[in-house]
Amino acid sequence: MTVQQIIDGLINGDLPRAIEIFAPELILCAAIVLLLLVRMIFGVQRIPACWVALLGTLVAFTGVFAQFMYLKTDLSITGVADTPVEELAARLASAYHLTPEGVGSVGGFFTDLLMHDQFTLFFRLGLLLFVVLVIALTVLTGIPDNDDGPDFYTLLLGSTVGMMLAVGANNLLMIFLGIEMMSVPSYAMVGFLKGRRQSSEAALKYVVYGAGAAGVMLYGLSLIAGILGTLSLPELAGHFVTVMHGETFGPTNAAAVTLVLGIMMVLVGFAFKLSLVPFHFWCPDAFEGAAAEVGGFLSVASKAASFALLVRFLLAFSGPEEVLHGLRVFLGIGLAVIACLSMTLGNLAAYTQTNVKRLLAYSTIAHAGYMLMAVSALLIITDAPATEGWTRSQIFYQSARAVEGLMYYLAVYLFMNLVAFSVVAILRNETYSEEIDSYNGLVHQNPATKLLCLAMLMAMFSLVGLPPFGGFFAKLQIFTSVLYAADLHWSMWVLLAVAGANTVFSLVYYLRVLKAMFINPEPEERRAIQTPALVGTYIALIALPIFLLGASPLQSDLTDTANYVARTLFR
Amino acid sequence: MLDLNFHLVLAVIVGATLILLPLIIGKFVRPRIPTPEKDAVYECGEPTIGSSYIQFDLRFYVVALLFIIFDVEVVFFFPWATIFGGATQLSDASLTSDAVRMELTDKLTNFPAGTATAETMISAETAQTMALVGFADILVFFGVLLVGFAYVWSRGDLDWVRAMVAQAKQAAPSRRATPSLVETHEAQPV
Repeated sequence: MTVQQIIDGLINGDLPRAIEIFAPELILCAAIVLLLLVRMIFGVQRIPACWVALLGTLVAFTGVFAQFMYLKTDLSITGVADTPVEELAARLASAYHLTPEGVGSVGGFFTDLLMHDQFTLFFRLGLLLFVVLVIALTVLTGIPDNDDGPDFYTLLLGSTVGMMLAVGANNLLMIFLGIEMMSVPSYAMVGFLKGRRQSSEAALKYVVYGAGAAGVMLYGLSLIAGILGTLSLPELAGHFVTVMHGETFGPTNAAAVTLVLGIMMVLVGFAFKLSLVPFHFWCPDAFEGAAAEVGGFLSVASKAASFALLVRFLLAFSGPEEVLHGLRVFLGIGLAVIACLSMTLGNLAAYTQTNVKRLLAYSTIAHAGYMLMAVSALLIITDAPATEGWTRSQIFYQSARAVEGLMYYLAVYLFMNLVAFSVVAILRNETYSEEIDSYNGLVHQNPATKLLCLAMLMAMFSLVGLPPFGGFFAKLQIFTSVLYAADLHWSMWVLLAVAGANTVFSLVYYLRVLKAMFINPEPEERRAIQTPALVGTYIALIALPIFLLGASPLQSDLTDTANYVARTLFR
Repeated sequence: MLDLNFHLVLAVIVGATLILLPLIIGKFVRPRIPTPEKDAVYECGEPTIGSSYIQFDLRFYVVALLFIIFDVEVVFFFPWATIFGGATQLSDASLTSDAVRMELTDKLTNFPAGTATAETMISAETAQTMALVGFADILVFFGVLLVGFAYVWSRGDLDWVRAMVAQAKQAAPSRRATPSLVETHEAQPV
């Protein structure tokens, strides 16, 4: 191959396609530059930064939505639009100039550094939807103030671009770049409440912990690249089989041990981002010190991106060979242990908390544990050898179900946690406190506050996993996957038992917040709380999906979409 | 494997000996005459002023951070410059000698000399595309960098003491507020 051919291929083939797929990220980048320019030229008073950020995110969101619908409705193949949905998709596709050769063809882009498929699109869509909602929340709560707006939204959008890179990563270096790009702005966002001692402390702890985790992760990546001789994710499995020379996977094999060491070090980086035990120490402090809006953003967005990345990284080791199966079972059991620890410690530590944000931080640790169960089950099920007694179609179906459960959980979790953190942020503006005691008798205040209490009730019940809320079905799906995986490996029974017990335990501390709101008497000296009606409307809007995703046709819609996306991963 | 371990042990032993030996020799040979001047903290030959554990201006950190950011970004220019330079050299159409072209191709693609053949050597047109695309890339990169720089400048992060600059701005009469200037002129005769 001559240089001429390489350059022609890049400029005429890869680059236009890559830019078409990458357009939403580029729009976000343009929005960041625009934020800075607008402040320099017009000042913050004439054009507030939040509107620029909101506009940029909305345009990017519609872009990803158009891409997703373009693939989902098979417009790229058939080119005919029959139903209203397909017509909308066709109109969006033409607005964003989507082509069958570009967005329509699934596969790697930017010389295979990034991956374009339904799985990536689903997560990019969820992330952008979430960022739109978070920006709307910051407009309503007034953090950041007008003067700091450009800085804050630059960090927020920068972090989002990093997450979108991370969910599409198809190369070990891109994994590191994505993780770092989403972490570094979030360190600054945690310390954004300048002058608050707690906030600075939280940011420092987060930064130091993050730097350590990133170092370990990078070392792990270099070990993997060193032993397998490639950075590309799709090639890892094949190279590992070659390196093993037909030997069995075990603790006496040097190549296997080195690779497992490398993968474990990479998992340290993931565990830090997912705040899994024993890498969770930063989480309660960071959430307590940061503004509730930032806490909400970190707890959902960076977790969703990390889970997508984790699934993609671990699925790189799928394949029918016996060595790969040994590796997957080993990792699956390891993740199951971490999941058990995270759930139990998160739930137990949440009992004694008096600060709502700390309580929610421990709750996110526990939920990361629940979601990790799906990954653990996935590793046990994927490409299980025929000797286990499962047919190929059964394995395919159950693998897709495990990923589907994780995606459904994340979608519901997005709304549950956003509602919980939004209520905390709004009540902070009204009562100037984030203690559970300050919520006493809030249900007796004005109608908008009553609505807040109701939304909190839905979020908390959904977090516990009570029907008919979305959290119930999310938990059900993951538990079912683990149950099927228990058929293949006994350790999954233990995981299932621990998870079941934890779900029951977790009820108590969520109920403490609700008890304060609904049952405890109102303190006499408190002034009347006047939550604005607009804020109440916003909360009602984001709390509604929690209910709809549990008890309406939307539930099966999301399940079907998640299943469609998950199945594309295992073709 | 054993050979490698032996080398490692050998390197550690030799390294430790080479450091420790002069220290031990020095310990036995050197005279022991301590004076207050000898025990004092060494500060470039000057008498010390005081402890180095003092508070100093926070602005040092801000300026240092900004310096590092722009410094690191400029580092990215170096790999670009080598490629861009090679491509521009090759894009010269008057360079007709195949031997020179092959040599330059090897340099640009980082292969050992003599790898490129008449088929694989980079033609002037290809080099031209490469150079143009590279130039467009660096323009975008540098443009974003400049926006960041302008933003930092307009925010006043480059002013050494921000509070004093703000005071000076308030004290000086604003240039835009011409009506008030006229008023003061009219008021003066009274």
